[in-house]
Amino acid sequence: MRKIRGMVLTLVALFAFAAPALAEKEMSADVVVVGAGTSGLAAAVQALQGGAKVIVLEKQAAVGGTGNFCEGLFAAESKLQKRIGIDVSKDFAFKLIMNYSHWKANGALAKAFVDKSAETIDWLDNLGVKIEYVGVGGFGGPLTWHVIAPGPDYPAKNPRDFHCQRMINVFNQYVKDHGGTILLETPGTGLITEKGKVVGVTAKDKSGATLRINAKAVVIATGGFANNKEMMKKYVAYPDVIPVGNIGKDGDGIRMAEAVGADLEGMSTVEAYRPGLPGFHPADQMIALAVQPYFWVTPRGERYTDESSIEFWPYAGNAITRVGGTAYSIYDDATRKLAVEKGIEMPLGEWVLQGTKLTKWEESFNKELARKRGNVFKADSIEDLAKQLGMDPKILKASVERMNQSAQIREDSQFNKKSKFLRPIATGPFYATKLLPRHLGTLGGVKISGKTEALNAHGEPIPGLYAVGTDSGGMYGDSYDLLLGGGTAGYAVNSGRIAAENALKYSGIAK
Amino acid sequence: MGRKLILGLALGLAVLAGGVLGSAGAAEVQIKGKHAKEALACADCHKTDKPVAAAAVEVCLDCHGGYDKVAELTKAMHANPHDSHLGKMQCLKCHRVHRSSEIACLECHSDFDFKDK
Repeated sequence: MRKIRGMVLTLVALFAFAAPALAEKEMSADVVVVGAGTSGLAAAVQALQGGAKVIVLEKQAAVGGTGNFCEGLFAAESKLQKRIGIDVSKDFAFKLIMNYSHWKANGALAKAFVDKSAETIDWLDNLGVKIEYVGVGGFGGPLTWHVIAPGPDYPAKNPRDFHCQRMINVFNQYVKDHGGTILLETPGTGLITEKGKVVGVTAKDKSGATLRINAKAVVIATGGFANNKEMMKKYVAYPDVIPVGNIGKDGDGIRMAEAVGADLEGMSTVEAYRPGLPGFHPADQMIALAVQPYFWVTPRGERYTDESSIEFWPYAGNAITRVGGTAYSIYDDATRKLAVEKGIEMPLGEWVLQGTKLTKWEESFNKELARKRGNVFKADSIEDLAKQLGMDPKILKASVERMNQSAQIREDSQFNKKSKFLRPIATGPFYATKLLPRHLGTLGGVKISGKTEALNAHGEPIPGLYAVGTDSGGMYGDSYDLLLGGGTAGYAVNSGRIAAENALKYSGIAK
Repeated sequence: MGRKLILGLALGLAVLAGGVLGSAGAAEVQIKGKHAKEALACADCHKTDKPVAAAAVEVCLDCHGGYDKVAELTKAMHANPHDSHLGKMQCLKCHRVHRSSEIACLECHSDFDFKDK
């Protein structure tokens, strides 16, 4: 008998050793959240507060997603706005979002988001996430951007405990302190369904083993598909738009939901950012000067836009993709001097404030010039600059002359730009910086109801499935708005909360 | 009869298992970079003489003293690749042993002057 048992055990051991891929671990939770970014963590915190058992899956080795980089979130009629006397009503915000989208957006969703936004600021406050000030989205616009203040660990104990990262840190700690589980380096791989209901998630852990997580409800929050070249080509008109944000946004959540019948919405819209160059820090001063609204031309050497429309990024993004996706920002040495010695006129959000003297411009520009990557150029004459840029010198000269005339008479006869941004290009040397379209992420995804329930092609909710943040579509028409600062971050937090609240009602954990 | 059958089955499986495991890894592979000078054998990292898959990251961390120790070594850099917003990444994401390494940071930060040694 012992010999037989020994044989059988050897057999079993051999099987187990020879086929590690068959290893499957099983777990269960009330709510599984796929993605530990802004929307996922907000959903997790809300679900835990509602009494649910929560597991969060995260593909990267750190939580936060693009929530590691943003600064603040949208709200209308918050306590802070009321205190300061900022008049941005919920009605104004709702109408702005819907009208800007030409009503291509999901009215029920936009209303749910806007109406919840003020209470969310209080919710964050109770969690220890404080607001430093309320600012704008586009320069000079309505004040809705609730910029998050540094936490107590900043800067000595944790130099990354400010802006949205502060909120991520608080969420992360909350989940850990209240019995939630976050599994890092554990991407969700699929949804488990039973008779048309979503009842769980499959995932793959660090060791390659499969996880099967049974759940009452699943919240998809993987951040869109900006890093998935195939999906970008399939859905976005200008797929080479440079992504600025975290890595790993591969459309996992959207594809998982699609595989169980979810409909998609708004997949062609991206969150246009200021045009620029790939791989430069948002506070880089070479870029900061290049995006000042003075004189931008197409590769033919022709001006194509009111440069100051960059204050609403999608206007600049649409204008540059319309002319093929490449432009050159050209300024002379007098403009360079002004920016370096007196400071820039148009700020770059929180990154390079208005009036900042660009003392680091020279180092950055010269470093890039030396790299000879075709991004920046310097010449002593417009003629020479044109040759370096591969432009017909006659065309570029004509464009420069036209701008110089406009600067002199203080009127832009080409694009009606505000006269304060009309500067001559006359004093050598002359500098050119290439501009390319950039974006902060995709804005389309799973089609959802006003309760963030994933919908099928018949508009019916798929039981047990929710999609939030940039894994969901419906907040935009063909373009990002930027009009209400903090819109996407605010939507991420609010949609996460809405999903958790509804998931708990659906699964009977809450009333 | 029963015992012989079971024995036969067990042996058969052993042969199969051995075959599956042994077939892929026997070819000669070069060690690149700094590890080349350490006189390492396959088993030192892969824990087997006939590896079929990448070594476990725990092995890297064992020799190199753990993630925090590695982060200490690079903390003077302009941006510490071992203490970044990407978290404690799998070593093999950047540092390859049998082919050239890649630097994950450069995917977005083209202005970092990093070189993997």
